Formats: sequence, structure tokens, C-alpha cells
Amino acid sequence: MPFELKVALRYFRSGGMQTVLTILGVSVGISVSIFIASLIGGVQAGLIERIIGSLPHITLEPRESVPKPLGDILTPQKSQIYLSRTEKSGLVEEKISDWKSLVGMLDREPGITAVSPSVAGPGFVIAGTSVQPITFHGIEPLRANRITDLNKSMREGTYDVSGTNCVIGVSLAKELGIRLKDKLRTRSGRGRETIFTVTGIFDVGIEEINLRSFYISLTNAQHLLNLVGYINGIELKTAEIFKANDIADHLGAMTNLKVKSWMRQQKEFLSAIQAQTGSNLLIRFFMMLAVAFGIASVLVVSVVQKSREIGILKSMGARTRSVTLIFVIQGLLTGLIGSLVGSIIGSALCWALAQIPGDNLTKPGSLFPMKLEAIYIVQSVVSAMLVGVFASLAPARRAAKLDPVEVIRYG
Amino acid sequence: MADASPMVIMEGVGKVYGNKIQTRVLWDINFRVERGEFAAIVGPSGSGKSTLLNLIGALDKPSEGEVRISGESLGTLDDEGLARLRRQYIGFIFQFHYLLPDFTALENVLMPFYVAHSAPTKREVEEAKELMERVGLKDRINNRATDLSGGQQQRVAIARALAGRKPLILADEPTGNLDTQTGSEIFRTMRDFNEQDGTTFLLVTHDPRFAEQTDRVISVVDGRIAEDRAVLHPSQ
Ligand SMILES: Nc1ncnc2c1ncn2[C@@H]1O[C@H](COP(=O)(O)OP(=O)(O)OP(=O)(O)O)[C@@H](O)[C@H]1O
Ligand SMILES: [Mg+2]
Repeated sequence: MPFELKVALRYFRSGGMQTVLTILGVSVGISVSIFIASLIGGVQAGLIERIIGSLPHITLEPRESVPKPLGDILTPQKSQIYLSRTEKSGLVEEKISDWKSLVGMLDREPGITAVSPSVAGPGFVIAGTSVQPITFHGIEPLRANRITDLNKSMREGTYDVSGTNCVIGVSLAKELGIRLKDKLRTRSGRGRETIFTVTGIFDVGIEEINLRSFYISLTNAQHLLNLVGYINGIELKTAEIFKANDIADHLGAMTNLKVKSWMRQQKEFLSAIQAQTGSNLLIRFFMMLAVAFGIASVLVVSVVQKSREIGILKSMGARTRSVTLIFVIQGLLTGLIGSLVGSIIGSALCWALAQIPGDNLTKPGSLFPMKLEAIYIVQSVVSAMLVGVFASLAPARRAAKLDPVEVIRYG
Repeated sequence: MADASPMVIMEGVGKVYGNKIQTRVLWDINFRVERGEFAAIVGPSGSGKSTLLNLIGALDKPSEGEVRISGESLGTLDDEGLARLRRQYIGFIFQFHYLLPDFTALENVLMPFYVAHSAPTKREVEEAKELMERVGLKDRINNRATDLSGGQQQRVAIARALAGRKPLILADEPTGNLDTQTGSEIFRTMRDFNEQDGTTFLLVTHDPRFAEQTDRVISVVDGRIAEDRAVLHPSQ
């Protein structure tokens, strides 16, 4: 065993109560740090799940077509009057052609976990005298489910859009007094009509969707909206939600589509999340600072207590580096052991609090949605060790500078 | 070559303490100590004996003049160089034992090896045990340093100073804190090492009985060498 480690370990052991209390101090700091990280992480994960979970992370849409000039009537040189004709906006259907190969390409793109082509467009449900504006959503259910899992939100019936089946929201059903198996006459903005059978009624908890969204098969939507062979939207899920912007930018450069990332659509939510992350880091930073002061102050005392022995070691020819290392190792050990104990206490605390039941409205959950991740423990242990080393530097330098003549004369 | 040069050479060595208020402690010290000598440094309290010993031991730097240990001039060495020189040549014995209390007796004797190159070798452990035997503490090797009596601690300190076959042992009042009987035993132990191994000893003492049993007495008075004489032993 290296000399410095041997001496450091022996001092550590002979420190007794002093060592135990320092380690406990570090442990408390680390356990609080892990606890806070898990709590904020849990709250954040819950919020993200609730807000972003049922939304696509990235959407691809056709670019809005800019009306094209159709040609000048008069050449400007010959007349002061300038007339020109421009295409009427809205004449050109915005759509994505060749979408099957695009979907295939997106399927293979790394970082993307779900790809769902869709056709959406305006229409009406006509029931007797009442006419309800709706939005048709033509989807491929297997793919669409991986963006928004309607199965989880089904109130009645099944999630089935095959043939002329449709799935509607509770608000629309209530508005029109509709029950399962009822038939609904619909008309699209293009004037095409189709009759659908209601096979399922969902409740996603968002009024706008419950009232307006009308899910049918992709093929039916293409027919209704005059988009046979085309789609007008692709929804994506990314493996890491905070990489959505990067992936969106990458896709924007690859395709000539308009690419939207949730991070840019939900700016306020994102900044709320970032504020939480920031306060989490701030709390943990100050926790570490407290740990650093604790370790440093104990080591300063230890250097004074051990000054006579340091003098002896120096009289034997101990190197300055060795004397420094003895105290740096003590700082490191305090950080290491303290953070290991703290990790155990912190994890136990997280586990215990997660057992307290709470009413999470719809689903049963715990009052504290703890999300303990291994990375928090790794981070805490590594940073505590670094902090231990850092905190030991000043006391260690003091020890290294001790003049053996002084301590031997007055020792 | 190095071994042929004298153990200690002091040439015009002086020492001044303090920056603003300067106190001169040593004036123009000149002497040399040959290998294998067993010399006493005597003098009244405050005359500069410890200062002199610390200069020889490379723990302190002279204000002027030159100190040479085994031919190496200390003035040319930086702090790390001085530490290396201490590891190589010098063993200290202090008045108040100064063992490391967190270690056993044997570990204390092994400490110079640890300091020099981390874990001691088997041969070095054997050497340490043999030294413990020679100071009469064979059965105390695993005792904690603090569990030993004052005399026993001082014996361990002697063994520790000698570990690694240090050619020069500097002892600052090694018997000053012990009763007469124990002091004599400690003195005898050092003398034995000197006679059997040829180790050079420089020994600060207040006790004229011990001084008269050495080979040479250097008297320091008011920071100067007042007398430097050989001791004649009737038996020789
Ligand atoms: N760091 C220092 N600063 C100022 N003066 C010092 C310092 N160290 C020693 N002195 C002074 O130097 C003088 C010699 O001290 P030293 O310890 O060498 O004497 P000594 O002969 O060993 O005395 P004793 O027999 O009491 O141990 C004393 O007057 C002391 O006060
Ligand atoms: Mg003295």
C-alpha cells in the first residue's frame, strides 16, 4: 500500500468521532441532494408525461405555398401602370407526395422512435339540424398509437377505425347525443360526404380534442379531403425529448417540409421545465458547497492536530507531495464514504416517501412522485469525491508548508 | 568517493533568526565530524545547540557558511533535495520521543522505508525487527506507540532513526526526559550501535556523565564553539 494512503487511512481511523461526524455531515448533504434531484426529476417526468406524453415531439407539414406570379400583363418599360396576376392562395393543396418512402426513411432515422403519417382536414358532422365543425384525422392506428395512445383514453367501445368506423371524443358525443354503434353523416370541406359508424368514444382530458377530433382511417380521410395518394402531416416521437430541436433542424435540412419541434411550440412549458432543472442544480450546488466547507474545516483542524507528526515525517525526509497527498486522500475518502452512505440514506428516503399514497386524480399514485435514477447517485459520488479533493487542497498545502523545526521545537 | 569524505563539515556557518528584529544565534561555526565518531554537543540553555543540530540535519538553512553532509553541500539543494538527503543519510532522535501515535512500534521503525519508497520490502521488515530486537523490544513490536513507556518509546525512536542503515544519527537531548537509570540504558544502546556498526552519532546533552563517555565534546556558548576536545578513556 502506498505510504500516503497508509498514513491517511490511519489518521482517518484514529480520528474516531471526528471522522464519523464528518462522514455523517457529508452523508446528509448527499442524501438531501439525491432526494431533491429525485423529487424534482419525478415531478418533471410527471409533467412531461402529462403535457408532452400524448403529443408528437416533432411534426412535419407541407410548406405553405406562396402564391406564384402567373405573368405580367404589361411590360413595365412601356407603361407607368404595372399590372400582374398572382395565383389565388388556397388554390394549391398543401400536401406531401411520395410519403411512403419518406416514412420509410424516417423509420430508419436514429433518435426517432415513432413515425405516424396522417391526413387532417376540416369537416362537419351533420346530425338532424345540428352541424358540428370537426377535424378529420386520418391515421394508421398502429403507428398513431405510438404517438398518442388512444387505447388508454377510451371511455366506451374500442379504438377501431377500420372500414367506415370512426372514433370520437366524449364532448362531441354528448353534444350530438350519440352512443356507440350510431351512424354519423359527415361532410368534408371539399364537399364529400361519408357515413361513419361510431366504434369508440375517448376522453383525453383536453376539451378541444374531445370535441373536434374525429379519427378515421387514412384512406377514408384521403378520399374525403381529396388527397388520394397524399398525406399532409407526419408526427414523430424522439427517444430523447430534449433532442427534438436538433432532430427537427436536421430533418428540416433533409426535406423541404416545415418541421416543428415541441420545444419551439411549447416554449412556456419548456422554460418552466428548465427553471426547475436550474433550481435543482442550484440546490445541489449549494449542498456541495456546504459539504466542501465541512470537509475543509475538519481537515484544517486535523492538520493542526497532526502538525507534530507531520514534522516528524518531514524530518524523515517525506516529500512535500506525500504530505499533501495524505490530506488530499483524507478529503477524497471523506467524500467517497460520505457520499456512499448518503446515497443509501437518500435512496431509502426516496423509497419511503414514494410509499405515501396520494390522489393523482385519475390514476392511483404516490404523493411524492419520486424518480430516483442511478445517474444521480453516480453524479453525487463523483462530485462528492471531487469536492473532497478540492476542499482538502488548502489544508493540505498548509500541512505541506509546515516547518518541522517549529513543530519539533515547540511541539 | 562520497564515502571517503567526512560525515559532517561546517564551514563559517552562522544563523540569524527573524527578519525585522534579527537575532543572531550562531557565529562562524567551523568543525568536521568523521565517520564513526560519537560526539557530544554541550552548552547552556539557549546557546544554540538545537539550532546547530537542525542545520546539520538539513531541517534548517544557515544564514551564511556551508554545511556539507557526506560531501554534499546543502546550499546547492532545494527543499526536495534536502528531504532526499535526510532520507539517505540522517536519522533523528528527539527529546520527547516523537513516535507516530497512530502506528505500532514496528510500523514506526518501518516508517523511514515507507517515506522513502512506500511499502517496505521483506528484507527491510527483517531489518526493522532486528533493530527492535537490538533495542530490547522484540516482544513489543505490535504494541501501539502510545502503549509504551517513555524509555521504550525512546528505544523505538533509536531503532527508527537507524532504520535503513543511516550513517548519521542526530539526537537532541534523547535522555533529557528520562530518569537516570533509563537514560543510561538509552545512552548505552546508542553507544553499542556506534561501536558495532560504526554509525556516527551527534548527541546534544546536558548531562556531563554522558558527555564524558563520548569520544569528543563540542561546547557551544553564546552561539560560538567555546571548546572542542577529545575525551580520553582510561581503558584505551
Ligand atoms: N525561530 C526562532 N526565532 C527566533 N529566535 C529563535 C528561533 N529559534 C531559536 N531561537 C533562539 O535561538 C537561541 C538558541 O536556541 P536553541 O534552541 O538552539 O538553544 P539550545 O542550546 O538548544 O537550548 P536548550 O538547551 O534550552 O534546548 C535561543 O535564544 C532561542 O530563543
Ligand atoms: Mg535545544
